[in-house]
Amino acid sequence: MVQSDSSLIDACRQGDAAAWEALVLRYQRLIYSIPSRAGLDEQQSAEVFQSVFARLIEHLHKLEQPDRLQAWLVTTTKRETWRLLRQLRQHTAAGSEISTDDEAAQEVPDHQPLPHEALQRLEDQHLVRLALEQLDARCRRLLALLYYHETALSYTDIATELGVPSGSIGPTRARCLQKLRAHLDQVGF
Amino acid sequence: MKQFAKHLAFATLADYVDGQLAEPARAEAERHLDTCATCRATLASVQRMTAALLAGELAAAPPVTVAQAVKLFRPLTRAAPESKSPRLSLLALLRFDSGAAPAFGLRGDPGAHLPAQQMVFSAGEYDLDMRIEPLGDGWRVVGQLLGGEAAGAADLIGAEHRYASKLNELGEFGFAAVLPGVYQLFIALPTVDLVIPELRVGA
Repeated sequence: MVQSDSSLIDACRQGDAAAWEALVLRYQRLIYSIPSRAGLDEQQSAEVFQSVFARLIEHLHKLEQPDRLQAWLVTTTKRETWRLLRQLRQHTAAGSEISTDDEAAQEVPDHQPLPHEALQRLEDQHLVRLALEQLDARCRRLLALLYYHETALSYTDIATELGVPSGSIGPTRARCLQKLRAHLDQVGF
Repeated sequence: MKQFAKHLAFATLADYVDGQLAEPARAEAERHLDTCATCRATLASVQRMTAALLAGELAAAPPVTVAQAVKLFRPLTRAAPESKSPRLSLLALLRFDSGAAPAFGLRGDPGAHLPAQQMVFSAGEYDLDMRIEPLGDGWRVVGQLLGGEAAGAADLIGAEHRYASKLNELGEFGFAAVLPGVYQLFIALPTVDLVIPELRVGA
């Protein structure tokens, strides 16, 4: 069964490296996507990523509400993203500090940290991904084909892929979505 | 398909959201939604869920970045599983910072004396005297551990680069040709780890 964030935090506090790894893997997309969608490049987003997890290690024993880890992580990521954006702007403003090297002169991303709605969308996608992982293999596969495939697949294509009658796709999809929704309800989606 | 039970079937709503309801079922569903707040709420939640399924905005972090974050924990877990007292890990707090060394200056001029950035951290009974200065194309990061036992290893870990050093008998260690970035510094001593969670080098 899937361990809750609280339970993983507890395990980390006991020195369980596997629990730490599970936490990092659970949140890696969300933490990376926040700076990335705010306009930071891969290296800059990776910096934010490392800072956030370093701060989490720092705060592991001090977290007052381990069950609100997601909110803590999102807040910390927003803050770190904003810090880096501000620093980059200051470097650009200093003008003469930037060399004529093309790479150094690349534009500073001109974005504000993500607006609330965009963050909410990312968090929704994160929760949906987590909920998907809790479904049985058949539902996971079906929903992945329906929603995560690069090209839109018809019910017939999907039916062929899964080796089931195409008439069963619609009702199965509805059942799987309902299960997904039940998991999401549990986390207050 | 029976649409006139008290509420719309979940499958109907899911089909409606995806534009899969053919007439006249679609029109009937809309008429029901006009009058039923419960179904409108369910519809909204299905729409939100479907939007999240379709959005595809969550990029995976590069594997090396993920691996580095996972490794952050490793120095804190040196204790053998059956050990009763977990290895102590101390966070080093910044006590003094002279300010960042300039990134650009008279490099390569042997006569030029470039000011280094000096920082002092403390963690428990230990003080850590750190110096960061430009050297050639990179940076030199040196430190000295003061107080307590001074044998061990130091690792400077960043998102893309990692450097290792050992403490000499004076507790000194150093990393040369460090590329600019944000690093974590881990010092592993016989019974305790010291951690500087964020060290900015030329950044």
